[in-house]
Amino acid sequence: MSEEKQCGCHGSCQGSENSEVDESRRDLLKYMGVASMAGAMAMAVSPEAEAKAYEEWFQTHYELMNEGEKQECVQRLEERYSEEYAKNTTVSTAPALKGVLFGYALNIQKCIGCRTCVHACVQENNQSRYDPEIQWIKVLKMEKGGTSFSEHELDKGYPESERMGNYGLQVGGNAYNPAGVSIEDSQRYYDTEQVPEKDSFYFPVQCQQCEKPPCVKTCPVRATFREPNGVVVIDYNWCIGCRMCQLACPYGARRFNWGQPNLPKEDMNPKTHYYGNRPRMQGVMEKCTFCLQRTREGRNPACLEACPVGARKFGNLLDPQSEIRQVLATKKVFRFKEEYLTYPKFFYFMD
Amino acid sequence: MTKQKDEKVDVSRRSFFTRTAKAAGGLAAACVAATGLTKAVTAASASAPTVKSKAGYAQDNQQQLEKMSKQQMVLMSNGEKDQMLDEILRHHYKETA
Repeated sequence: MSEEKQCGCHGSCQGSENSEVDESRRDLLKYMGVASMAGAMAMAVSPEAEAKAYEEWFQTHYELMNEGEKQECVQRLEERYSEEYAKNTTVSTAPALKGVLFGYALNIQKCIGCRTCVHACVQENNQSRYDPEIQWIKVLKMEKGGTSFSEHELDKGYPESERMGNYGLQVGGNAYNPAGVSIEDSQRYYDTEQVPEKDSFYFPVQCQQCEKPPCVKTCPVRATFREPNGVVVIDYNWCIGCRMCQLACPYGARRFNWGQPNLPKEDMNPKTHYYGNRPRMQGVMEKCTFCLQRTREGRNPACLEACPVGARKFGNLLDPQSEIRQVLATKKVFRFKEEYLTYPKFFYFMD
Repeated sequence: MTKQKDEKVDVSRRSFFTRTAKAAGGLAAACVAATGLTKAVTAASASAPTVKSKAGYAQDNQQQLEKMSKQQMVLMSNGEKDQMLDEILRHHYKETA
């Protein structure tokens, strides 16, 4: 009787269909459960995290946010980084200092090519550590010889300096007697047991923080811009990864994250700045910012602090008494040839 | 006879609903599983350095080398230093729209 009630066939099916239905239903539920679990495990993120990711993905340019939106954005980032890297991470939004225009100078006579600055930069600025390690500073090795650094060579030859004026084309010698160094023969991947090598000198190259930066001009969404203190920054969340800025930069100073950056938790520097060393994501551009998370607090860039020979000088170009202005006033100063009219604020000098 | 026919209809309708429910459930489960697995595979492939990303990094390195090889480091005369500084400072204090 109970069978009749269950299947309603008055015993004609003898319970066979009933058992089949039960079994397949159980299977169905089982499969659905397993599939849901698999799906949930694969997604492995809570709806809250998804919502945050969505908000971050669709946030507007940081400079266009109101104060409330900025606070919300920074809080969201801090929470995400703290969770992701298991460290209490801060994202500073300290603005550019007023009355400051940063300049950098590097003594090529002192630089020994040890790459300590490169590694200090990587540690400070949360760059990808492997596959590959992204470095913002590249050290070029040059052979000594065949170059003229003598100042009196500058005014010799044709065209005459008087005809061209004191500025412009004549600087750096002329077609017959160039006074300068071509980077063409430089080596970037030198790997020697000991530095400095005899008859070699070294040029660390990083973002030149141009006064008229071509990278800024080419950015179609204004994700990269020059701050009042002369540092060119990037809003990583607004960058669309078109790489136009990378093509425009004549110094190859910009790095693109082709893959997800590999930053181990233990290596992460939790003291970050929104425009500076906060962890980046795949598909965005990054570059040197003169360690703005440090310089905005009155500290020196990490590369300068790490340099074992004191080859690096950093300071305010607006202050005539600053070290950088003293270097410009009293030393033999080099710069990359002014073909692009970018006005780099990174100088190389000799005593 | 009529009763028996009705019963048959009932049975086939029930089995139809059962099958429909099974199919719908199965489809939903398949969708969930496929979405999850797709996401897992995508995430895994994104975190691992792909051939494309490796080629991208290598291409960037080469591009920078080529750019740098065209550069020339030149000594600045005192006049040029003054001019450059003057230009930079003038540009800095210039009011922009």
